[in-house]
Amino acid sequence: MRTLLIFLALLVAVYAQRGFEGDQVLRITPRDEEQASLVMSLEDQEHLQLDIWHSPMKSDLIIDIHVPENSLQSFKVFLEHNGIQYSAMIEDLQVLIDDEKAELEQMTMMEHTASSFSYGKYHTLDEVYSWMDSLAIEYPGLVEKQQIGTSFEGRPLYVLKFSTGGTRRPAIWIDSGIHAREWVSPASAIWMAKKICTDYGQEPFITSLLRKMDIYMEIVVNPDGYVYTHTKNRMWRKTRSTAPGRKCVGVDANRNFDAGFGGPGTSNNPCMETYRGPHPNSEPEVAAIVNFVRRHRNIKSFITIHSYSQLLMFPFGYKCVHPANYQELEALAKSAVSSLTSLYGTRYKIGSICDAIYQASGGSIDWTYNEGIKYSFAFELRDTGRYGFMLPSRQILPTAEETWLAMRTIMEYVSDRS
Amino acid sequence: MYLLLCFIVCFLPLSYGMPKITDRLDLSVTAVEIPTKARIAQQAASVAVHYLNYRYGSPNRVYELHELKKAYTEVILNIVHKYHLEFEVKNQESSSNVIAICTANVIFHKKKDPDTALKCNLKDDMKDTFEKDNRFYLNLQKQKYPMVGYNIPDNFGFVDPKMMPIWLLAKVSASYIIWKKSTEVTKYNMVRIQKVNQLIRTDTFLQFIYTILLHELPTQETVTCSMWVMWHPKQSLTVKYFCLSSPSESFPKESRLERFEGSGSERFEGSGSERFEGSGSERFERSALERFERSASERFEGSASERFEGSASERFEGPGSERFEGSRSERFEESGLERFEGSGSERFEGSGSERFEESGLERFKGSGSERFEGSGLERFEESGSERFEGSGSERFEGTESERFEGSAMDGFLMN
Repeated sequence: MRTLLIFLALLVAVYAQRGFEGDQVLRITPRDEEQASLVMSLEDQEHLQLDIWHSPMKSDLIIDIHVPENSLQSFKVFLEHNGIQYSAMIEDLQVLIDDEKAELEQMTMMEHTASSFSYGKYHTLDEVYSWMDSLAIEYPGLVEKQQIGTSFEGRPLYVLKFSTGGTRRPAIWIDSGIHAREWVSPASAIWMAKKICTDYGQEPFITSLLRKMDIYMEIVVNPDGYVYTHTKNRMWRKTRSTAPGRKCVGVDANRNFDAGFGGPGTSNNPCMETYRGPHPNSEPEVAAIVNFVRRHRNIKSFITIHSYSQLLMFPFGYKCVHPANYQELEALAKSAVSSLTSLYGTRYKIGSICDAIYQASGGSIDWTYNEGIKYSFAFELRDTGRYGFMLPSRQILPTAEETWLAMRTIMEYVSDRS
Repeated sequence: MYLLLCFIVCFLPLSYGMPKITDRLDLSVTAVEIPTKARIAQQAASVAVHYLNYRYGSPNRVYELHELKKAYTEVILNIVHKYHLEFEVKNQESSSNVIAICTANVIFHKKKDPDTALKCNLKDDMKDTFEKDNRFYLNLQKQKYPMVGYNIPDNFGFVDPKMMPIWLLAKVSASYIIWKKSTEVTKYNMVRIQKVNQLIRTDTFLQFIYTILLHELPTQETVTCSMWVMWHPKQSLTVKYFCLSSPSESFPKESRLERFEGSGSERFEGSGSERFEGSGSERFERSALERFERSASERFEGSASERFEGSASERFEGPGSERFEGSRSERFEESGLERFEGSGSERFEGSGSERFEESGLERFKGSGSERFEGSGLERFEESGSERFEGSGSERFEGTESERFEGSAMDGFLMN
C-alpha cells in the first residue's frame, strides 16, 4: 500500500503540469568564459529553478535559460549587476505553449481532412463536414462555407461558395446527395470541389469562369439520410422526417419540389420510396434550396447529381412535354456527354427525364427550370446496374474525373451566355 | 450414372448457342419498327438479356446489352405486346471484346410473366468460359466446409475476389427472377447478396440459397428475394424463388403482415406485391406465413380469385403510371428488409412471421436443406401443382417451357 502511494505521488510529480505563465526564456551572451561560468553556477541554486536549454560551448558561449516568473526579477538583477548581456527570447512561455498546442490540433484535424483526406474513398458525414472546413481554411480567398438551413434531425445544411469577389454574381449551382444511398454522388462532388480549388489560378477555364461567376455546391443535401445509410440501412433513399399520423419515416426529397407536385411517378403513401410528402417543400432540406435559389435570384444553371444509370437529363419529368429550349439543352447535353465519354469510354444516354427514365413529378430541376433557370440538368452517374448504388470505391475517382469534363462543358456554355 | 453424364457431356455442348425455340423468332408483317432508343425498346431488350443470362449465363458468362440494333413492336389481340429485337451483347466477364449478335422475341402479357424466345451466336464464348466455370466448380467441390457469405458487395462496393464467382452466379440466377418479374414499366437490378450459403449435395450439382435485394424501377423500392439455385458448369441453371417487397421501414409493431398474405401464391412466383394494387387489405385476416408453415396448399384456398379482383387488370392501364397512385400504394406498408436481417422477429410478434424468420430462414441454415428438399420446396411443387393445375404451378419449375402453355389463372382473371 505504501509503495503504491509513493508511486502515485511520483506520477503526480512528474505529470502535474504547472502553468508557465509569465516564465521567460532568456538568451545570455557572456563576454567571456568567466561570465559564462558565473551564470552556470546559478543552476545550482535550487530555489531559482533555472532550466538550461542551451549550455555554453567552447565555440559559442550563448546560454539559453528558462527562468520561472518568480525568479525572473532576481535573476535579471544578478545579470545586470555583473554586466552580463541578455535578451528575452520568449516573452511568455505559456502563451507559446498554448499557441503551439492549438496549431498542433489544427494540423492534426487538417491531416485527417485536407491533406490525408482520401478522395477515392467514401466518407462519413462528419468526415465530409470537417473536410469542408479544411477546404475553406486551405483556400480562404476562394472557398466559403455557408449554412443555408437545418435538416429535419437538426443537422446543418451547408453550401460551399466558390467566389473571387463581387456582389451576387451570376452563379452555377451544383448539388449532390439528395438521395442518401447514392454515395458516389457526394463523393464525386467532393472531388470536383477540390478540383475547382486546385485549378483556380492554374487552369485558364476555371480561372476565367470564377472571375465572372460564382459556384455554389451543396455536397450533402440530405445529411440525415446519408448518416442513416452509414449507420443503419445502406439502401435508404429518403429524408428522415416523421410526422404525427405518418406510419413511416421519410420523404423522397426529389419528389417534394413544387413542380407538378403530386403527379405521376410519386406516391402519397409515406411508406413508399417515392413518397412526395404532405405538400411541396415540406422537407426542410428542400425548403433550404428553394429559399436559397429564390433569394439569390441570379442562378444561371442548376445541376443536380444522382446515381445510378449513366444519364444526363434535363426537364421535364413531371410532364412528358419538351421544354421550350429542348434543342439547345439536347445539344448541350450531347456535347457534355461526349466530353465525358472521351476520358474512359463510359457511355451515357441523354434526354428529358420523362424520355430517359420515367415520368416523375416534384423534381428539383423541373422546379428550377420553371423558376427561369434555363440550364437545369440532372446527372445519373455510374454504373448501369452491375453494382448500382454500391459502386466500388475504386470507381470514385474515374467517375468524378469524367463527370467533371461534362460539368465543365455545361459551365463553359452557361458562362459564355451570362 | 456414367452413361447419363456422358449423354449430358456429349449433347449439351451442342445445345449451346442454339436455343430450341426458333420458330418463334419470326418477324410478323404487322410489326412496326420503333426507335431503338425508345425506353420500351430498351426495356424489352434488357428483359431479353436477363433471359439470356438465365439460360446461358454462368459465373464467367454474364452478358450485358451492348447495343440494340433494331426493334419492332406488335400488339396482339389488344392484350399482348410483342417485341422483336436484334441486338448485340458482350460478356462482362470476358477479357476479350467479343460481341455476340442476338435475336429475340419478348412478349409482355397483361396478366402473366413475359415470354421470351431467343437466339444468339454464343459459340465463341462457350469453350473458354466453360473451362473457367469448371475450375471454380472443382475448387468449390474440394472445399471442406460449405461456403457462406454475407453482404456482397459490402457498403463500399467491395467484393472479395474469392466471392466473385458466387456473386456472379447470383447475378445470372437473379436474372431469372428479373426476367419473370419485369414488365414494360417495371425494371429490376440485383443490388446485393444479403446472405448466401451452400448446401452440400450428394450429386454433382452445386446448390446455394441466397437472400438477395433487387432494386425496382421506377418505384425505387427494394425487393427482398429468397433464391434457391442449383448449378453445374455443363447444365443450365435451376432457380426457384420467392420475393417479398420491403418498403420503408419504421413500421409499427402491429405489423400489417396481413398484406403479405394475399400475395399468397403470387409471392411464390416472385411477383407478389404488384398484384395487390388497389385490392385492399380486408382480405388478409390471418398470417399467411402461418398458413405457409402448416401447409402450402391451404394458403391458396380461395385466395387466388380474390387476388386478382380488379387488380391485375389495372396493371397495364396507360403507361403504367397509375401504379403510383395512392390506391396502389397500400401494398408497401411493411418492411420485409428487417425481417431478413435477423432483427425481424421483434417486429412481427405473434403474427407468424417470426416463425418465418426462425423457421423459414433459419431452416435454410441448419436443417434448412432438408426442409427445403424434403418439405418446403416439394410442398410447393406438389401442393403447388395440384392446386394450381394450370394456374401457375409451372412457376416453380426452373425451366420455362411449361410456362408458355398458358396459365389457367386466366380462368380467374377473365372476369
